[in-house]
Amino acid sequence: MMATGMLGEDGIHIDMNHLKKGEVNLGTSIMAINFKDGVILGADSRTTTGAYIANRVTDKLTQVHDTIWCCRSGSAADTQAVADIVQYHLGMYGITNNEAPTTQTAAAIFQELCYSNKDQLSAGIIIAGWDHRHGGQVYSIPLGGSLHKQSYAIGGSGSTYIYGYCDANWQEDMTEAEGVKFVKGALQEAIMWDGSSGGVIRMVVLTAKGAQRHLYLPDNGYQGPGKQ
Amino acid sequence: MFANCSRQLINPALADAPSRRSARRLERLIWEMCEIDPKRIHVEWEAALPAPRPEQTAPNSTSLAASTHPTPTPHPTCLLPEAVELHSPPPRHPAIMTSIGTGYDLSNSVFSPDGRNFQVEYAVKAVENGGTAVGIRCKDGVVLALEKLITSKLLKPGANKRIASVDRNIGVVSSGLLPDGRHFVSRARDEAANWRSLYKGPIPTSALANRMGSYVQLYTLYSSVRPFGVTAIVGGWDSEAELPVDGQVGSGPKVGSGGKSEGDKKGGPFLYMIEPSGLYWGYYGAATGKGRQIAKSELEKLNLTEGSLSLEEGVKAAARIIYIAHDDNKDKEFELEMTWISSLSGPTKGRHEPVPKELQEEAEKLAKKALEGDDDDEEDEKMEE
Amino acid sequence: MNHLPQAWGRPRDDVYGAYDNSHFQTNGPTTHTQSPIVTGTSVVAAKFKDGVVIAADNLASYGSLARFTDVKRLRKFNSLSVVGFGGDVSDMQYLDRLLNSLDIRENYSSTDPENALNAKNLHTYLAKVMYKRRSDFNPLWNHLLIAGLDGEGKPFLASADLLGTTFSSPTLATGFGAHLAQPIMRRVIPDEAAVAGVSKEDAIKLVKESMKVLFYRDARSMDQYSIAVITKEGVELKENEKLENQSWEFAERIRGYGTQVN
Repeated sequence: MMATGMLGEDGIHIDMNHLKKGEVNLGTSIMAINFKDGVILGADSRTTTGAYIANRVTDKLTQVHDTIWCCRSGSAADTQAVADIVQYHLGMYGITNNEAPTTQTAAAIFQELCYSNKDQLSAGIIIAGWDHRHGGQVYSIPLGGSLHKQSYAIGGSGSTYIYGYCDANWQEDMTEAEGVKFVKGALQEAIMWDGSSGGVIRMVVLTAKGAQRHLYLPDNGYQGPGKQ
Repeated sequence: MFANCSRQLINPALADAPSRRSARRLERLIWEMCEIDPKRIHVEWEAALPAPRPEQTAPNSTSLAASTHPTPTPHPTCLLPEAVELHSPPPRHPAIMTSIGTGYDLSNSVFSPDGRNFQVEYAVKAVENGGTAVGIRCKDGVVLALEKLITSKLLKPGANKRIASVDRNIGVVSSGLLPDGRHFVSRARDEAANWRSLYKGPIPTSALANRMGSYVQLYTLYSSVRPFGVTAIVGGWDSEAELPVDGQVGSGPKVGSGGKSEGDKKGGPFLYMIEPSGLYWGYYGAATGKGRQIAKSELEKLNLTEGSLSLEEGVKAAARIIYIAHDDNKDKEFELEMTWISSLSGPTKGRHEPVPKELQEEAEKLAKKALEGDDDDEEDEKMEE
Repeated sequence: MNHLPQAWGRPRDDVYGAYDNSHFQTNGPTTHTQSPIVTGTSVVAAKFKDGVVIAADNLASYGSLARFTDVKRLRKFNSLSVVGFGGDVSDMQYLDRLLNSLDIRENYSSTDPENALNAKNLHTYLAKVMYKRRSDFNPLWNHLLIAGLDGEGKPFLASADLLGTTFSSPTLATGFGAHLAQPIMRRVIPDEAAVAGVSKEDAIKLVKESMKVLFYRDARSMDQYSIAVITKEGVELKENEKLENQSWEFAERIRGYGTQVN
C-alpha cells in the first residue's frame, strides 16, 4: 500500500494526510480544580489550524451529564466524538440504573475510549464532576490513555507554562471566589505565554446547586462579565 | 374463518393425509429407537388423535371461547407423555383449570387461554423440591444459607460448595436444578465482568439482580428453551467507601473532595430473589426450596424491617431456620452451607466469604438446641394432656 | 462546491485530476504506531534469605516533564506476590485491571490460600500476556519485575519485558536501573548461593542505596518512592517513602571546571 503521507507528483496526497494531522487543533490551555464545595473547570477559547485562529470564541468546556463536564484538548474532531460517545453512555446509565452516574463512571468510560483507540486519537481530556456521594472530583487523561486522579489538573499546550504558577499558588479547600481567582490567574499566564492559547476565559462551577458558567473577556483585563 | 384456518394449521387430526402419514412414520421411528413394539401402543395413539377428550378443551372457557380457540392436539413427535398418560388418566374436575392434557403446557412461550405459562409453573415445581435456601439482610451485612441435601454417602463432606461468589462482594444461592443454578451463576459472573470492563468498578447488587431477572425472563419467551429450574437468592454488599476507578493512579486532594451531601445513600446490604419467571424483588429476608413456607414464617418473626438484626445474629438465625425447615424432611441427610458478606469494617471487609468454621459450628449447635427445645415443649404439652 | 458531497473538501478534479480513491481503502496491514507517552522509570529488586525487596519511585513522566508525582508503580497481587511496573502508565493500568479480573476469577474456584497463585505462576502468566501482545505487533510497553514467593515458599524474582523476554536473577532492575543499580546490587549478591547470607535489613538497605544512586543519575526519577517486602508473613508495602541520607554537601568543594580555584 502506498503510504498516504508521501507527496505524490500532483501534491495531492500529502494534502489529504495533512488535513488529518494538522487538522483543527485545540492548541489549548485547560484546567480543572477541586474546591470547598465542588469543582471548577476553566479554558481559553482559541482554536488554531497552524498559526491561523479558526475560532476565537471556542467553548472547550463540554457537558457529558448534569454535573459531569470535561475540558477538551488535542484534535477538536476526536475530542468531540469521544465526548459525544461518553454523553450517550452516561445518559443510558442514568436511565437504566435509575441513578445518576458518578464522576468515576464518566472517567472510566473516557479512559476506555482513549486507551483502546490510542493509535487513532489525539485527545487530552480533563474530567471534572460533582455528585452527591463523592462531591467534586477531578480526573486527567493524557495522550496515552492513562487515568490520573488529581486535586487539580492542567492540560493543553499552554499548561506547560503554568506548572510553576499552579504549584506555587495551589491551596486545598479554597472558597469559590479563591478558586475562580486561581483558575483565572493561571489561565491568564497560559494565554500570555502560549501562542496557541488566547481569547476569552470560560469557566464552569459544579456544586450541589448545579452548573454555573462564568465568562471573562480580554479587553477588560479578564474582569468580567463573570457569572452568566 | 380465521379460527378454522388456525385449526387446520395446528391440529394434525385435521391435517392433510400425506403429512399425517409422515407424522406416523416419524412416530414409528421414535418407538423403534425406544425399542418398543409400535403395534402395542398404536391403538392408544390412534385413539388419542381424532377425538379430543373432554379435558382437551379448556374447561374454564365458555362455549364461545372454546369454539374460537383452537384445541391444540400436540404434534405427533410430542406425544410420548400423552400416550403414557393414557395408561392411568388422572381424575380431573372440569371446573379446575388444569394444564395436563390440554397441550398448553407442552411448549414454553405458549399461554394457556387463561393466561398462564405452564412451563414456568412446572419450573417452580422443580424449585419446590430443592433443598431450602435462605437469605437474610442484616443491618451490617447479608447471610446466605442452604440446606444441602446429601444425595450419596460417597460424597466427601464439606466438598461441592453450592453457594457461589459473583465478583468479590456478591453471593448467589439457589434451590432447584443444580446445573441450572450453575449456569445462572456463570451468567451472573459474566454480567459482573462486563460491568467491570465498561465501568471499571464492581456491579451494584441491584444492577446484577436486574440483569439476571431479564436473563431468566428470556427463557420464558422461546419454545426452543425451557425456563430456569431454579429460584436464586442474590445477596451483596455495595461498598460504602469511595471506590477508585479500577487501575487509576493518584489520589486527589489530601483533604478529600469537597461538596459532598451528608446522609446520602452510601452502599449497604442488598438481597434479591429471582424466580423462574424472571420476576424478582428486593427482600429483607428471602427463602425458597422445599422448606420455604416454614422458613418464611420464621423469617417474619425476626422483624427484619426494623433493621436491627446484627450479622452474627443473622448467621445464627439462618442456621436455626434451615434446621427447622429441614425438620419435616428428616429422612434425608443434609449439610448446612453458610456464607456472609459484611460491611467494610466487619469480619469479611465487604467480601463474600464462607462463614468461619467456629461460628458456623456454634450456630449449628444453637440450632440443634433450639430444635430439641421445641421437641421438649411439645412433649411437655403432651404430658399435660 | 458542487452537489456531490463526496467531493466536498477535496482538491478539485478539474484542477488536480481525479482523486485516487484507493486511499480510502484500508486493505493494508493493521498498524499500531504505539510508543510510550506517560512513563515510569526503573524498578529495582533483590532477593534475601526469607523473601524479596522491590522498589520503584512515584513519578510518571511526560517526556522530560515530571508530570505526575503520585503514581504508585508497585502492585500487590496477593499475600505472595508484588508486580513492579516500568514503562507506559496506561499499559500498566491495563495490566492492573487484567490482574484484578484474574484475581476475581481465581477466587471463584478456590478461596484457599494454599492454592493461591504464587509469584512464579504470576510471572508465567504475565510473560505470556507480554509475548502474545508483541506477537500481535501491539506490545504492552512495560518492563515488569515480579517478586514474591514460589510454590515451595522460596524467594522468587523474575522479569518480563515488552517483547515477552524473561530473566531471573537474585537481583534485577529495569530501565536505567539495569545500568546503574544492577552492578551495585550484584556486588552484594553475586549469585543465588549468596542469597542465603542476606538478611531482610541488608536487602532493604541495598535497594534503598540503589534508589538513591538512581535519583542522582536518572533524569526521569524523583526522591519519593514505594518499597515492598514480601516474606511468608505477607506483603509489607510502603508507598510514600522519601530518600534519606543524600550526599550533596561535597558540592561546596567544587569550583569551576578544572583550573579555577575561587
